[in-house]
Amino acid sequence: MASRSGPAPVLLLDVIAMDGTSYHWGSTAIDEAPIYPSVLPGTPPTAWLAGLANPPANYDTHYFPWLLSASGFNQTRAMRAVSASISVQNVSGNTLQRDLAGLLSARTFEGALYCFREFNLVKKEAEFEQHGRLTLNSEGERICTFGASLLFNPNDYDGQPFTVSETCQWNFGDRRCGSTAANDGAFSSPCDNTYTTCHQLNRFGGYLNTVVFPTNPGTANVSENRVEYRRLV
Amino acid sequence: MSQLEVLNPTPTHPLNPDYGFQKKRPLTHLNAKGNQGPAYFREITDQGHQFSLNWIDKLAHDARRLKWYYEQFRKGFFTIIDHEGGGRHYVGRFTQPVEPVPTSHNHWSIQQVTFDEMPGAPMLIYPNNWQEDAIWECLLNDWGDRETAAVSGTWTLAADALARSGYHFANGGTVVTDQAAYVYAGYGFQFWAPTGPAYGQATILLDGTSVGNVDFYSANATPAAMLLQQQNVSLGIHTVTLQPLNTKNAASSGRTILWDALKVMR
Repeated sequence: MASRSGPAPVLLLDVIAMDGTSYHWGSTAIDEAPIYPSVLPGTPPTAWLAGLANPPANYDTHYFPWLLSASGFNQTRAMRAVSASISVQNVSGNTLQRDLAGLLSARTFEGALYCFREFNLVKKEAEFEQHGRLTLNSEGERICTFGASLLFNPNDYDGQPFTVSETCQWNFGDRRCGSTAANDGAFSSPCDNTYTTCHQLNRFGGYLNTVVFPTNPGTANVSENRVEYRRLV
Repeated sequence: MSQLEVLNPTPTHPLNPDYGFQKKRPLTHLNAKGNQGPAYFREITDQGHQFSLNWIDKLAHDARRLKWYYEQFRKGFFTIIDHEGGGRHYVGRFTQPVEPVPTSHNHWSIQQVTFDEMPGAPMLIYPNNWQEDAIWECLLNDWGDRETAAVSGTWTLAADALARSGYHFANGGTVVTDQAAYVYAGYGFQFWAPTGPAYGQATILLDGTSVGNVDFYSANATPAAMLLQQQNVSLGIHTVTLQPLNTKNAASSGRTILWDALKVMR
């Protein structure tokens, strides 16, 4: 980016972990609200902050310079699910405990919401912004790498797990069926997995259709329009 | 066979390597730096010094003796003395074969032999040039990040003009299970801290074993001074722990203890 015009943009990453704690990491240390407003303010990790020698005055407007690189962000017209890669340093901390390793072991970052921005220092605006969810790809001695997926990712959706059928797919008497009728040896009580024999209609596990086939069609049921089929042979 | 075996006990010993030889110190730390951020640092291994030694134009029996040192100590260690470098001892072994090459009748040369210092090995004389070889390991690094860990209990960071670090890390001193700790890579250490009329006493542990007590009391507020020195420590990654004793000098008006700085032998 810098090779084309102006200074290199600052990279900013806002994260909300699954417990609601938020993190603001940048490629440089920033403490200049409202020029760099964090877009995902949340609950500060108070225990970790208390251990810092110089905690920021306002946690939600401070970006710790932990972000090493971010790449692979793609935007396409297709619904391709792309995953970017975000690298965060895992070196800082006191001599006993690394900052990031401590946070990763204390919080759940798998599925954490993120907002990544490239911020143009000259224009004071974000040139690029993407929201999504994080997954922890690797935690190394020096660098921790997150995968960054888009919020809209059809691959994450479960498909219909059951067969589309007019017959019910529950086993008679199980929790989903809900019938408490005795399943005796004479097969008098169990259903036939059909709607008409269902004991618990409100839990019927089939797909109903509204087509009715009259058993004795009358003249009114028969089309009298003349159709001429034109065939090649 | 151990550190008691000295390759070159005197400055005129024939097995002294040719001076000066290359002295390397392999990287023992990690760095990580963002585009415009600070360079974070972390010590991770305890590798020692590495020398590249030459012996030019030695007699045959000297060459044989050097070869014996390689063979004998492939899985052990011996002592080599850097007589030109102030007589400092190093304990380690040759990690590459000693291969004498004839240069003339009964004369041999041995070149590019690597001597690797072995962490954890005991020494005849531990490094003791605190003025030139030791480094400061302060409470805060130059970026202002605290490097001493509060393992348990309440430790309060405060600016202190009398402290070597410019700050101190204070504990009330009444709970004997409270601990602050620092991990370093090196040999021995010195514990430095300011003293004053309202401070108590503490014990210092090295790798979990007490190595002595320190008294932070002095009649007047006094700038940081060495309160404890532990010199005879093998090369390695070591943890220094400060733990209150819940005791004080009879004249002291308090039991507060302080962490300020370590001076670590490298």
